[in-house]
Amino acid sequence: MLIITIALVGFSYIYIAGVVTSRTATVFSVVDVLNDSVSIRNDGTSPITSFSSVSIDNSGAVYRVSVQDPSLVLHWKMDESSWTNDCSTETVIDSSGRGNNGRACGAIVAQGKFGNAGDFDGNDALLFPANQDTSLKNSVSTYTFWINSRDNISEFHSKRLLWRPMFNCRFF
Amino acid sequence: MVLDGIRFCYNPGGEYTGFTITTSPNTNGQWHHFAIIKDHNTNTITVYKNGLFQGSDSFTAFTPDNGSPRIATSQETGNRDDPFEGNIEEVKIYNRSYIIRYQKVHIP
Repeated sequence: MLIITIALVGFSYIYIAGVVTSRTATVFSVVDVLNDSVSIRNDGTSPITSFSSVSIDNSGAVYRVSVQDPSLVLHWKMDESSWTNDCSTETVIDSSGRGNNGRACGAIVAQGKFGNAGDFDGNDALLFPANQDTSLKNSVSTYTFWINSRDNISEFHSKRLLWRPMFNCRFF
Repeated sequence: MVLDGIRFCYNPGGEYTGFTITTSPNTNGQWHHFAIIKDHNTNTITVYKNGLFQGSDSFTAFTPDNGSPRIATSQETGNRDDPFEGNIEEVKIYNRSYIIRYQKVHIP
Protein backbone atom coordinates (compact mmCIF):
# COMPACT_ATOMS: atom_id res chain seq x y z
CA MET A 1 0.00 0.00 0.00
CA LEU A 2 1.30 3.38 -0.97
CA ILE A 3 0.93 6.02 1.66
CA ILE A 4 1.95 9.59 1.17
CA THR A 5 1.64 12.27 3.76
CA ILE A 6 1.99 15.81 2.54
CA ALA A 7 2.79 18.45 5.10
CA LEU A 8 1.59 21.97 4.51
CA VAL A 9 1.71 24.94 6.78
CA GLY A 10 -0.47 23.93 9.66
CA PHE A 11 -2.04 20.97 7.91
CA SER A 12 -1.21 17.55 6.70
CA TYR A 13 -3.02 15.47 4.14
CA ILE A 14 -2.77 11.82 3.53
CA TYR A 15 -3.19 9.91 0.32
CA ILE A 16 -3.71 6.19 0.74
CA ALA A 17 -3.99 3.88 -2.23
CA GLY A 18 -6.04 6.21 -4.36
CA VAL A 19 -8.07 7.86 -1.64
CA VAL A 20 -7.27 11.21 -0.15
CA THR A 21 -8.14 11.25 3.50
CA SER A 22 -7.70 13.46 6.49
CA ARG A 23 -7.88 16.72 4.69
CA THR A 24 -10.05 19.64 5.46
CA ALA A 25 -9.71 21.56 2.25
CA THR A 26 -8.94 20.87 -1.37
CA VAL A 27 -5.27 21.58 -1.63
CA PHE A 28 -3.89 18.95 -3.93
CA SER A 29 -5.09 16.56 -6.58
CA VAL A 30 -3.78 13.13 -7.35
CA VAL A 31 -3.15 13.45 -11.05
CA ASP A 32 -1.79 10.07 -11.97
CA VAL A 33 -0.81 6.78 -10.45
CA LEU A 34 1.36 4.60 -12.61
CA ASN A 35 3.51 1.82 -11.30
CA ASP A 36 5.79 3.38 -8.70
CA SER A 37 4.95 6.92 -9.65
CA VAL A 38 2.32 9.13 -8.09
CA SER A 39 1.85 12.63 -9.45
CA ILE A 40 0.23 15.27 -7.36
CA ARG A 41 -0.71 18.78 -8.35
CA ASN A 42 -0.79 21.56 -5.81
CA ASP A 43 -4.20 23.21 -6.13
CA GLY A 44 -3.75 25.53 -3.20
CA THR A 45 -2.15 28.88 -2.75
CA SER A 46 0.46 27.71 -0.27
CA PRO A 47 3.48 25.77 -1.41
CA ILE A 48 3.75 22.14 -0.46
CA THR A 49 6.65 22.25 1.91
CA SER A 50 7.49 18.62 2.35
CA PHE A 51 6.44 15.05 1.97
CA SER A 52 6.66 13.84 5.52
CA SER A 53 6.63 10.18 4.65
CA VAL A 54 6.35 7.86 1.72
CA SER A 55 6.09 4.15 2.22
CA ILE A 56 5.44 1.39 -0.24
CA ASP A 57 3.86 -1.98 0.56
CA ASN A 58 3.68 -0.86 4.13
CA SER A 59 7.30 -1.78 4.51
CA GLY A 60 8.11 1.33 6.41
CA ALA A 61 10.78 2.31 3.93
CA VAL A 62 10.96 6.03 3.54
CA TYR A 63 11.76 7.59 0.20
CA ARG A 64 13.11 11.04 -0.21
CA VAL A 65 11.22 12.94 -2.85
CA SER A 66 11.59 16.38 -4.33
CA VAL A 67 8.58 18.60 -3.94
CA GLN A 68 9.74 21.14 -6.47
CA ASP A 69 11.88 20.01 -9.35
CA PRO A 70 14.69 22.58 -9.38
CA SER A 71 15.16 22.07 -13.10
CA LEU A 72 11.67 23.39 -13.78
CA VAL A 73 12.34 27.00 -14.79
CA LEU A 74 9.01 27.91 -16.37
CA HIS A 75 5.55 26.52 -15.75
CA TRP A 76 2.52 28.19 -17.22
CA LYS A 77 -0.49 26.33 -15.89
CA MET A 78 -2.74 28.85 -17.63
CA ASP A 79 -5.32 28.43 -14.93
CA GLU A 80 -5.84 32.15 -14.50
CA SER A 81 -9.38 33.40 -15.03
CA SER A 82 -8.22 36.01 -17.56
CA TRP A 83 -5.13 37.75 -18.91
CA THR A 84 -4.35 41.35 -19.70
CA ASN A 85 -4.07 41.38 -23.46
CA ASP A 86 -1.68 44.22 -24.12
CA CYS A 87 1.39 42.19 -25.08
CA SER A 88 3.29 43.74 -22.19
CA THR A 89 1.64 43.00 -18.85
CA GLU A 90 2.91 39.72 -17.48
CA THR A 91 -0.29 38.04 -16.37
CA VAL A 92 0.41 34.48 -17.51
CA ILE A 93 1.71 33.27 -14.18
CA ASP A 94 4.84 31.17 -13.90
CA SER A 95 4.43 28.57 -11.16
CA SER A 96 8.06 27.48 -11.21
CA GLY A 97 9.05 30.19 -8.78
CA ARG A 98 11.48 31.75 -11.27
CA GLY A 99 9.24 34.65 -12.18
CA ASN A 100 9.09 33.89 -15.89
CA ASN A 101 5.59 35.22 -16.30
CA GLY A 102 4.22 35.46 -19.80
CA ARG A 103 2.50 38.23 -21.75
CA ALA A 104 -0.73 37.67 -23.65
CA CYS A 105 -1.30 39.09 -27.11
CA GLY A 106 -4.91 38.38 -27.87
CA ALA A 107 -4.99 34.91 -26.38
CA ILE A 108 -7.82 34.31 -23.97
CA VAL A 109 -8.46 31.77 -21.24
CA ALA A 110 -10.75 28.83 -22.01
CA GLN A 111 -11.56 25.43 -20.63
CA GLY A 112 -8.57 23.14 -20.92
CA LYS A 113 -7.55 19.60 -20.17
CA PHE A 114 -6.48 20.39 -16.63
CA GLY A 115 -8.35 23.45 -15.52
CA ASN A 116 -7.97 26.31 -17.94
CA ALA A 117 -5.92 26.69 -21.09
CA GLY A 118 -4.88 29.39 -23.51
CA ASP A 119 -7.14 29.77 -26.52
CA PHE A 120 -5.59 30.99 -29.78
CA ASP A 121 -7.60 32.02 -32.83
CA GLY A 122 -4.74 32.49 -35.26
CA ASN A 123 -4.14 36.12 -34.41
CA ASP A 124 -2.93 35.51 -30.89
CA ALA A 125 0.32 34.81 -29.16
CA LEU A 126 1.91 34.42 -25.79
CA LEU A 127 5.20 36.18 -25.29
CA PHE A 128 7.90 35.21 -22.91
CA PRO A 129 8.83 37.74 -20.22
CA ALA A 130 10.68 40.84 -21.27
CA ASN A 131 13.46 40.07 -18.80
CA GLN A 132 13.93 36.36 -18.92
CA ASP A 133 15.62 34.27 -16.35
CA THR A 134 19.01 33.10 -17.60
CA SER A 135 17.98 29.51 -16.99
CA LEU A 136 15.77 29.75 -20.07
CA LYS A 137 18.83 29.67 -22.26
CA ASN A 138 20.49 26.65 -20.79
CA SER A 139 22.56 24.39 -23.02
CA VAL A 140 20.10 21.59 -22.44
CA SER A 141 16.40 22.28 -22.17
CA THR A 142 13.17 20.35 -22.33
CA TYR A 143 9.91 21.96 -23.42
CA THR A 144 6.64 20.22 -22.65
CA PHE A 145 3.06 21.25 -23.27
CA TRP A 146 -0.40 20.05 -24.17
CA ILE A 147 -2.07 21.22 -27.37
CA ASN A 148 -5.49 20.76 -28.91
CA SER A 149 -5.61 22.05 -32.45
CA ARG A 150 -8.77 23.19 -34.20
CA ASP A 151 -7.08 22.72 -37.56
CA ASN A 152 -6.28 19.59 -39.40
CA ILE A 153 -2.54 19.80 -39.09
CA SER A 154 -0.56 18.23 -41.86
CA GLU A 155 2.93 18.32 -43.17
CA PHE A 156 1.94 20.87 -45.76
CA HIS A 157 -0.05 23.06 -43.40
CA SER A 158 2.19 23.03 -40.43
CA LYS A 159 1.57 25.47 -37.63
CA ARG A 160 3.97 27.71 -35.82
CA LEU A 161 3.85 26.85 -32.21
CA LEU A 162 7.06 27.91 -30.54
CA TRP A 163 8.69 30.74 -32.32
CA ARG A 164 10.98 33.67 -32.47
CA PRO A 165 10.44 36.68 -34.70
CA MET A 166 11.06 36.66 -38.39
CA PHE A 167 14.42 35.82 -39.91
CA ASN A 168 16.23 35.34 -36.65
CA CYS A 169 14.40 32.48 -35.14
CA ARG A 170 16.25 29.73 -33.45
CA PHE A 171 15.13 27.10 -31.10
CA PHE A 172 16.18 29.25 -28.20
CA MET B 1 13.33 16.87 -39.28
CA VAL B 2 9.89 16.78 -40.79
CA LEU B 3 7.56 15.03 -38.49
CA ASP B 4 3.75 16.45 -38.72
CA GLY B 5 2.81 19.90 -38.81
CA ILE B 6 4.01 21.77 -35.80
CA ARG B 7 6.94 24.07 -36.34
CA PHE B 8 9.14 25.11 -33.51
CA CYS B 9 11.42 27.47 -35.28
CA TYR B 10 12.12 29.54 -38.31
CA ASN B 11 15.65 29.34 -39.48
CA PRO B 12 17.61 32.39 -40.57
CA GLY B 13 17.06 33.12 -44.22
CA GLY B 14 13.51 31.91 -44.20
CA GLU B 15 14.23 28.29 -44.87
CA TYR B 16 12.05 25.78 -43.12
CA THR B 17 14.88 23.35 -42.76
CA GLY B 18 14.33 22.03 -39.32
CA PHE B 19 12.21 21.60 -36.26
CA THR B 20 9.02 21.00 -38.16
CA ILE B 21 7.36 18.30 -36.21
CA THR B 22 5.31 15.71 -37.95
CA THR B 23 3.90 12.72 -36.21
CA SER B 24 1.08 10.38 -36.96
CA PRO B 25 -2.07 12.28 -38.02
CA ASN B 26 -2.57 14.96 -35.45
CA THR B 27 -6.34 14.70 -35.20
CA ASN B 28 -7.87 18.01 -34.40
CA GLY B 29 -10.09 18.32 -31.38
CA GLN B 30 -7.92 16.05 -29.31
CA TRP B 31 -5.33 16.84 -26.70
CA HIS B 32 -1.76 15.81 -27.36
CA HIS B 33 1.25 16.09 -25.13
CA PHE B 34 4.59 17.10 -26.59
CA ALA B 35 8.07 17.08 -25.12
CA ILE B 36 10.99 18.55 -27.04
CA ILE B 37 14.52 18.15 -25.76
CA LYS B 38 17.10 20.55 -27.13
CA ASP B 39 20.71 19.72 -26.43
CA HIS B 40 23.41 22.20 -27.41
CA ASN B 41 26.12 19.83 -26.28
CA THR B 42 25.22 17.36 -28.99
CA ASN B 43 23.32 19.82 -31.23
CA THR B 44 20.34 17.57 -31.34
CA ILE B 45 16.64 17.98 -30.87
CA THR B 46 14.44 15.09 -29.79
CA VAL B 47 10.67 14.98 -29.90
CA TYR B 48 8.16 12.95 -27.95
CA LYS B 49 4.44 12.97 -28.57
CA ASN B 50 2.07 11.51 -26.00
CA GLY B 51 5.04 10.01 -24.28
CA LEU B 52 6.32 8.21 -27.34
CA PHE B 53 9.59 8.94 -29.10
CA GLN B 54 8.93 10.53 -32.50
CA GLY B 55 12.42 11.24 -33.77
CA SER B 56 15.51 13.34 -33.39
CA ASP B 57 17.58 15.51 -35.62
CA SER B 58 20.71 17.60 -35.51
CA PHE B 59 21.02 21.33 -35.93
CA THR B 60 23.82 23.71 -36.69
CA ALA B 61 25.49 24.81 -33.50
CA PHE B 62 24.51 28.19 -32.10
CA THR B 63 24.71 29.84 -28.74
CA PRO B 64 21.43 29.76 -26.82
CA ASP B 65 19.95 33.18 -26.35
CA ASN B 66 16.71 34.36 -24.96
CA GLY B 67 15.56 36.55 -27.85
CA SER B 68 11.84 37.16 -27.82
CA PRO B 69 10.31 33.76 -28.18
CA ARG B 70 6.60 33.44 -28.44
CA ILE B 71 3.96 30.80 -28.63
CA ALA B 72 1.42 30.26 -31.38
CA THR B 73 2.46 32.84 -33.94
CA SER B 74 5.51 34.43 -35.43
CA GLN B 75 4.68 38.07 -34.98
CA GLU B 76 2.68 40.29 -32.70
CA THR B 77 1.09 42.13 -35.60
CA GLY B 78 1.12 42.10 -39.37
CA ASN B 79 1.74 39.03 -41.46
CA ARG B 80 1.12 35.93 -39.40
CA ASP B 81 1.95 32.93 -41.44
CA ASP B 82 0.48 29.62 -40.40
CA PRO B 83 -0.45 30.53 -36.86
CA PHE B 84 -1.62 27.90 -34.45
CA GLU B 85 -5.35 27.79 -33.77
CA GLY B 86 -6.60 25.90 -30.75
CA ASN B 87 -5.71 25.45 -27.13
CA ILE B 88 -2.39 25.17 -25.34
CA GLU B 89 -1.75 24.60 -21.69
CA GLU B 90 0.65 23.38 -19.07
CA VAL B 91 3.70 24.83 -20.78
CA LYS B 92 6.85 23.81 -18.95
CA ILE B 93 10.53 24.37 -19.53
CA TYR B 94 13.18 22.36 -17.72
CA ASN B 95 16.85 23.20 -17.89
CA ARG B 96 17.78 19.56 -18.27
CA SER B 97 16.98 16.64 -20.46
CA TYR B 98 13.66 15.30 -19.33
CA ILE B 99 13.30 11.70 -20.33
CA ILE B 100 9.72 10.69 -20.71
CA ARG B 101 9.33 7.49 -18.75
CA TYR B 102 5.61 7.18 -18.99
CA GLN B 103 3.52 6.50 -22.03
CA LYS B 104 -0.10 6.89 -21.08
CA VAL B 105 -0.64 9.90 -18.89
CA HIS B 106 1.58 12.90 -18.40
CA ILE B 107 2.25 15.10 -15.45
CA PRO B 108 0.38 18.33 -16.09
